Amino acid sequence: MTQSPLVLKRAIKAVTDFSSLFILLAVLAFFTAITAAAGDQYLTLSRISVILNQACFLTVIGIAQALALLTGGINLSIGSVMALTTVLWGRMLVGNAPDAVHYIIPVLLVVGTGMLIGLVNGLLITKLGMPPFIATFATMYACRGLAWLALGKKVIYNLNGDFRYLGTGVVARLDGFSLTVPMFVVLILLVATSFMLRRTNFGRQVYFTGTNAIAARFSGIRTDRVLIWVYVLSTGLAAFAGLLYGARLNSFEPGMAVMAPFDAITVALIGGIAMSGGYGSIWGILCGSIIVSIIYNGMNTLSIASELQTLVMGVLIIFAVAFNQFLIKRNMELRNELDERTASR
Amino acid sequence: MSTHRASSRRFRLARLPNSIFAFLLVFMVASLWVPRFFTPGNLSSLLLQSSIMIILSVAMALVIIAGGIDLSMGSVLSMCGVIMALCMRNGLHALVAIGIGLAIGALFGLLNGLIVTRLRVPPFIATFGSMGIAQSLANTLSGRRTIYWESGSHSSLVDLLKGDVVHIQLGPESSMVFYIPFLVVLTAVVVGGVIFLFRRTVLGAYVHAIGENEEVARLSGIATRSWTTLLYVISGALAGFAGLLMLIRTNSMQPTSGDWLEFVAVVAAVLGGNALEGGKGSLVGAIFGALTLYMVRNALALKGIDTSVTMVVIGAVLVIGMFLNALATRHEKKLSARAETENA
Repeated sequence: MTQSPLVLKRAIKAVTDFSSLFILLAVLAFFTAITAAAGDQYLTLSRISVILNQACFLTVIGIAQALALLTGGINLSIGSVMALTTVLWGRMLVGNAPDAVHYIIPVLLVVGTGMLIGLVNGLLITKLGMPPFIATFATMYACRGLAWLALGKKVIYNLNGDFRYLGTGVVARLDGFSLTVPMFVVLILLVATSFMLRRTNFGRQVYFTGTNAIAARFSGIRTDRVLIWVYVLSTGLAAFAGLLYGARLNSFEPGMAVMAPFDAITVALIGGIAMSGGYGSIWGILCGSIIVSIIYNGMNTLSIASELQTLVMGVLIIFAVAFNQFLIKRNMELRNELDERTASR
Repeated sequence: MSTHRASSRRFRLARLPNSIFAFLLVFMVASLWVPRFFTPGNLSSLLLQSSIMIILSVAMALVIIAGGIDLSMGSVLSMCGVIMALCMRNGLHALVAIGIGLAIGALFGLLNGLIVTRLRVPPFIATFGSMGIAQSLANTLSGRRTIYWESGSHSSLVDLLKGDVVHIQLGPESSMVFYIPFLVVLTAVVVGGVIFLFRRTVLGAYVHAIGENEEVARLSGIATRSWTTLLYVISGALAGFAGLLMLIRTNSMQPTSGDWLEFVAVVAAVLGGNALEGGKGSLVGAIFGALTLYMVRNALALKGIDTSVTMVVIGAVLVIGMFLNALATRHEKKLSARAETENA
């Protein structure tokens, strides 16, 4: 065997690792071409900053969903948890009253409540043996109902300015491009999750449990504990996403973000996370959320009706996943081949 | 195992459809606690309310047993209903309209089947994607408005189907009127037909085989791709039929009327003992699952309880129902283990 095909194969494998990047480029090219035909420039600095800013929220719920998907599960409770947790503690974030507690306290309470609901999710799945789809559907229903019960038809609005900085704050402006606080928050989150999944024991156990839960259990991994932690983290992140969402809209209400779990699935799938579990990278989520954000933004600028946008997203999901399936298969083949070669040397 | 099966003709707790425990529990609690629940009139309307979900959950159970899932059902319901309603608004005869609607439902199912079997996209994602497509078509075709039609000779069939087959006045109040609407009869006929096909033809065995292990099924000579595609066609057509029921019941068609129903159908099917990983399940169980969910809703509404409480209760019923299912399965396992040791 000569050296060059090995290098070539490595290169191909590296390329197949970034399948969502291709989709990103294709989508960008598409909208650039269309706007160029109308005599406009698509990628302006201000548009990029709008797209990235929108992608921030999608990235957070995308990561939350991806954690569940990586174990072969699903988390349908994301949107309802966003609503319930923020509605419960949101009053503490209202206004600039002098006697108000520091906003960090309600923020911690919201995330803590989210993690608690996640614990319920995890226990239902592991101890009662409920399929994740059904368990999180039950908490989705229950949390949405509780959110309506807690607040009724009211809305919590006029939030604390310091807290809103978390969702809307601008750190620096460079000619149209605004560097916002959520971008930094999401970047930190991405790095932390990526580190957790790639470099820690727990992360590898998540992947292993997702690939083959039985094999994982027999090799000594406490899969129940892994699953419970995954749902605690996933649902806690959802609650945090609720804070970001509310900070941007300057309000919390019980009916918010009904479609969030499905948007999160869309982001994760386009980002190359395999629904069967155990495959996918957290950085793919960033790609996925930017793609979704570009498409919504692009279709809005082309003033395509929102009902047609769901059609485009539907078609895109199917083809993106078909494309990813193909690449994953190729990637696996190449990985096996490369492993064999390095072993035989 | 075979001797065990032959000897178990007698009544066995765990051989009942799974959801029947949750069903009986809710039924008893509701009858005792809600004054106007156990009346002929309310039981009739409960059947009418749950008929659409019964159709959807049976179709869902069929797909789930084969190891798939069909999340596009609710949107296909809306889309087919909208198409039928539009046809009738434009003066087409109701029969033609219904035919077109059902055919489009089946065609959409075919599309799902082809995406799953040919493009090899996992069913959850394929039908999640086509859910968006069908939803978009329903909204676009209807202009996001409820569609009405002028009643006339061409729509007399729909007016007829709105009526009751049986109507017995047992007392002066409306709660003492026992009635069986045409819709319930139609539902019973269609569901009966599906169950007959499932039990008396190769369909049932093949569906179980595909759900258990698709590769083994294929190697033993089952044309798994064609059968899987057929299943999605059936579920698409049944979703279209549910759209027809919705259109008749409301005498109009809203493009959003099917939203979320697919998830409720999954829940009903799983409550009925259909395992999401496939290969195991029961169509009758799915029917009881659907009835249980609608009974909770009906009883709490009669009691005048807020819908937000209803959502919490449904979540809790789901957990309790799944817990009862698990208990029944454990009981069954214990029994069969004992039978085996006795045989040995």
